[in-house]
Amino acid sequence: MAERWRIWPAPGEGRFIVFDTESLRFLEVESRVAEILEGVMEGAPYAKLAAEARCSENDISALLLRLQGDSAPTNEEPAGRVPAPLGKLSLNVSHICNMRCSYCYARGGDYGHGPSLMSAQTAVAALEVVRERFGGCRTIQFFGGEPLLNWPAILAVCEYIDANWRDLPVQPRLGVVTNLAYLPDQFDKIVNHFQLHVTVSLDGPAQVNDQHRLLLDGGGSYRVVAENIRRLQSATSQPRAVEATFTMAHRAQGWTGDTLRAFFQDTFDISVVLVAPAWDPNQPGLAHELAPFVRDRVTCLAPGITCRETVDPSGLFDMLPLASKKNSPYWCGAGLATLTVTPAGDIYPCQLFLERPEFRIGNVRHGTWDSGVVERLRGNTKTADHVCRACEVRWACRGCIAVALASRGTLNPRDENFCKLIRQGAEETLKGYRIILLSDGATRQRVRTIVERAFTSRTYA
Amino acid sequence: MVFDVQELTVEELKALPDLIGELALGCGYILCGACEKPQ
Repeated sequence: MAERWRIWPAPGEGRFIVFDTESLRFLEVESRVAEILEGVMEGAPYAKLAAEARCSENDISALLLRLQGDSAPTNEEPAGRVPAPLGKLSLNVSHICNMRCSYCYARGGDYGHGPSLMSAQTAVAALEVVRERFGGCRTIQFFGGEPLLNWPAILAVCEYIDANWRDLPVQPRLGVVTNLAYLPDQFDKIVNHFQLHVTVSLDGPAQVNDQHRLLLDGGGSYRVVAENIRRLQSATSQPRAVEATFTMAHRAQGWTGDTLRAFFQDTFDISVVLVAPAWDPNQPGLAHELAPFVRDRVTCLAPGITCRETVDPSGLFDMLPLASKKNSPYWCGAGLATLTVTPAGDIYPCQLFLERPEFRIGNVRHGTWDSGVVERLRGNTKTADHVCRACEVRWACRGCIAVALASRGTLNPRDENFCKLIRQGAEETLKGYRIILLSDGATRQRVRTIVERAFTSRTYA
Repeated sequence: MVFDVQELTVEELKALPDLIGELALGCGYILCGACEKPQ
């Protein structure tokens, strides 16, 4: 029962806030309740606790049930459930890239498979497989290499969805992750007509971006990308988000996640900025070393309260379990909630498995599907691991199983450094959530407005 | 219930799971959060 509940003093005298690590609920309680919960965690007999609290043992049992809520004892869905529809289909429409970033994990864009472009027929075959197996998907993401080098395939997919998927109950969102070093003249029309969401990869101002993000001629990419961002913004509402890779160059120049987010908002009026620490298979500790400078969940999670009006999706991802009260048994959804399809039509769990043929799930053109790979991923859960199953911060735990495989030869990300980082993150997430929880109505409304504006132009009920 | 227990919620963030899905993210770096997982 150790650490089942987290307890903090609340603003009112004799009041406490309790976080139930199982149901992921927050409760405000009187001091008697806090004392009982402390006693339960220390293993005190109910009779002793009841006498001290001047209540019956049945009252204590009822209290513990109340803390659990109306839901089932555990809200972790049983492993094995097939997501329907699929969460995200990533179409690698181009295994060619017009840049040579020093930290590229895709070996210059082709993942060691050789340069190629996806045909419209292969892209449509991928859509048909996803419709047949999952009944559709929530997000279709164009990826690469550099996807805009194959904009005709993007257009073909958009047109196919528009013409053939109207009858599905869930309409997929369409998005592209691009370096914007090349902006086709036709692209703004595609963006506007199909409401394509654009995320641009850029690491910051020229002095830091151009250390690693290089064009084919070896020159820095900042100038041309900045021009193309403004060109696209002049004709569309995109790009709405930036992905920045945080490197040792940022550290050397004194940048943090916060100052980077401020830069993108001030320079391009983009408020959704995902800052991710660089990962190098030759330096497995690098991401962990950089992460503390990247991730300030308090400012990420409490936008408008403690910092500027920028949002880091990674901070919001941390808050997802608390917002939804759902505790996924998986570290990530590779092969279960997400699939990647290569230009040749090969299906993989995600793009980071592309150099591991043993994880090839099938091929959309040949109609093949290897359930064995999927079953292996489905069985790789936090609840199947004896340490993770008992961990009180497993709700906050997510990690890249492909990185774990590359670094340590296992699909389980758990190791000393990883767990330390997750625990730190959980503390910051709880702190950020409590800030919002205890804020007044006007501030909460401000949080809602900022988050809503950052993510979508639509309003939600 | 003989105890005073009140659930605290942030209604303003209930739409968060859907909102996050609006974004096209996904470079797969460790802990970046871009990889979707079953909820």
